[in-house]
Amino acid sequence: MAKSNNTLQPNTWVEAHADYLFNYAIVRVSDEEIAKDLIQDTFIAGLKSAKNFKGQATERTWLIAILKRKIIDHYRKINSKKGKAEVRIQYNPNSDSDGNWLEEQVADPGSIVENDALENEELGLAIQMCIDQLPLNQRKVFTMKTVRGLSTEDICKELNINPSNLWVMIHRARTALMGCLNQNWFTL
Amino acid sequence: MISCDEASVICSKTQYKEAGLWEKLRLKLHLLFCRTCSVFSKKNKQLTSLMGKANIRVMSDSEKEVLKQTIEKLL
Repeated sequence: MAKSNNTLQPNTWVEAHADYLFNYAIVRVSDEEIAKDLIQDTFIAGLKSAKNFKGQATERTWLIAILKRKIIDHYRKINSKKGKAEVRIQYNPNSDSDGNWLEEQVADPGSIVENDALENEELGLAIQMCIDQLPLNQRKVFTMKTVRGLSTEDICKELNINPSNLWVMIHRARTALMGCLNQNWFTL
Repeated sequence: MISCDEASVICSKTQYKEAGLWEKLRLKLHLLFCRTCSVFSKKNKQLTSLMGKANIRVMSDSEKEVLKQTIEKLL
């Protein structure tokens, strides 16, 4: 999270916001490569319009606003490609008969599947927000171990620490995360 | 008997299934007597299950490096 009082610090953008923005984008475009491009576009657009930043929002909120525009632009672009503008009138794309009532196909509001998917998306962002608040070394170790699923041995080698250091760091990170999620998500 | 500090670190280690047999035994024994650590252990398990549900993804270090360089060039 941005520690400064609402000023832009582009040289810390990647460390501070890339993971959050990436997860934000990925649930909306469902494609890692496209999400990565969108993040890059967002940062570039952010730099170009940095002088318009008035400090009324936090740096992150401001970047998310730009990312939202980029996501909308992305969908506009893929929809305007030739040949995709074809309109077919068919009530139900899954069946050949064209008489099915739309009402029969409306999603069941009590359906567990859809609600779960929505909740998990918000959950992911809530957790990422808490991870971003960890001290940098804990954040690094926790992400390598828990999100990327690397082996203890590999992490120790890469960061030049011993296993008991690693477990203490992981443990501190987990304790902090439990506290943070308790405040921001629900009772853990 | 091990201390709460030690027990809770082992507890976090078990979340990744990397605690040894001896460690697990000492933790179990400690949990029998220590209410605070039992609560902590329960929450720790919940965090593991939440992480599993959330499906968080991150960009690789090299991809982040490229992004950083792109930004630096434009600064």
